[in-house]
Amino acid sequence: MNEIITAVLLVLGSLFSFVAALGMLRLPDTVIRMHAATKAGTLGAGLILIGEAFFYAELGIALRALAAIAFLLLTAPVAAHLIGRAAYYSGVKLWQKTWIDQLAERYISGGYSDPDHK
Amino acid sequence: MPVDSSPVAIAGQFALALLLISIILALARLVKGPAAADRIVALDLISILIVAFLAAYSIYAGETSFLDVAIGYALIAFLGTVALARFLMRSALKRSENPETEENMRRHE
Amino acid sequence: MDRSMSLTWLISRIIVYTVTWWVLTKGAGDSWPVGIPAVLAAIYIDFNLFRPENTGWSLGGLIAFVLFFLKSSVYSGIDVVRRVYDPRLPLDPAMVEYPLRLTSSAARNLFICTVSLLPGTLSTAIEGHKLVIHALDVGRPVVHELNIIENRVAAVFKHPVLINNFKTGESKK
Repeated sequence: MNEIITAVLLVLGSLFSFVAALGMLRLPDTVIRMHAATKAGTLGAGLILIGEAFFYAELGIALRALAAIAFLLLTAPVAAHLIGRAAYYSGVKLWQKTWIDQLAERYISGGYSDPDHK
Repeated sequence: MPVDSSPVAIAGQFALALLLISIILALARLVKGPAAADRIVALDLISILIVAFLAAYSIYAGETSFLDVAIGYALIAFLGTVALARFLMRSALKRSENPETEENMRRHE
Repeated sequence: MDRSMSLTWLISRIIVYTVTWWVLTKGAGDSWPVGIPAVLAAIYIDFNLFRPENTGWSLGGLIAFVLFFLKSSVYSGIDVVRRVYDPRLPLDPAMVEYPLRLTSSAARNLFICTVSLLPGTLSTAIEGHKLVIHALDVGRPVVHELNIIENRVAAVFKHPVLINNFKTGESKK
């Protein structure tokens, strides 16, 4: 029974990761690609890690797999946040139909002199 | 190594192959991406895909130490991504302080 | 928030980090010469990076939040599948400014991570109390959905949620 759950989770997880990578090529914009990587990529890796917890039905492995999932869930959004900010500062053009560019109003007029500003 | 016809082995082979193809697709974006930020996003995704690959291989090969490798790799890769993003940010801020080089930079867009 | 180190905070941190190290090393006895300095270093970094805030947390809120999070993660994955399948899907992306109502750093952290992992939104920048979010589809009530998520996060931490006046940015309880 555990084997079937693991097999299903493996297939699902790899499919989600494949969708994330496919999105890298097909999606029209840097930030939208980051959406795909953060959501689908993390979900795919998370599913495979849960599959691993089911496969070796041991407490130590399950706790480590859970720790890995928690780490991915906490760090992937932070990385996306930082990359998104850096991308915006470095002038990457958003997809041409993006509107309400509220960041632009602020950064064009004011700008920040402190490079460590969050 | 599980017996070849067990569901985990078949699913494991499928998952490993699909993850390899995904890494190649992300590499394509790494090469192609017109801006530096695109490349950093591709690298971030490749890190996550490698963590998934390590976990899947740990299941397929029946060896639990790959999970530890996956955790260690996730930590280091995150640091690398953060460092790259901060570097990009700093260079963008420096560029915005030197307007006479804006024309040069625009050619690289 | 003052950075007072209370005894319960210290004891809870010692327990958590020791247990984490024990789990990671599968209880190997000869790892403790590295483990004890690691636990101490972790406590030191914890104290310096996160201000010890005693807001407490509620178990019911946490369970409800975990279930909500799991369900939404799956939806977000399916949403990405839809968009990748047809990249010209009627996207209406926009940068949305959202005044945060949460104040504690742990709650804000959880909120931002959740928002980034949920379908259609990705956090981009923070300034003071305003969060700038890149939303994929402004046809949906994005700010309302963010309000709901913020309420759920506040329920996890037993956080008092302030009422916001979006126009002027001032907030009152």
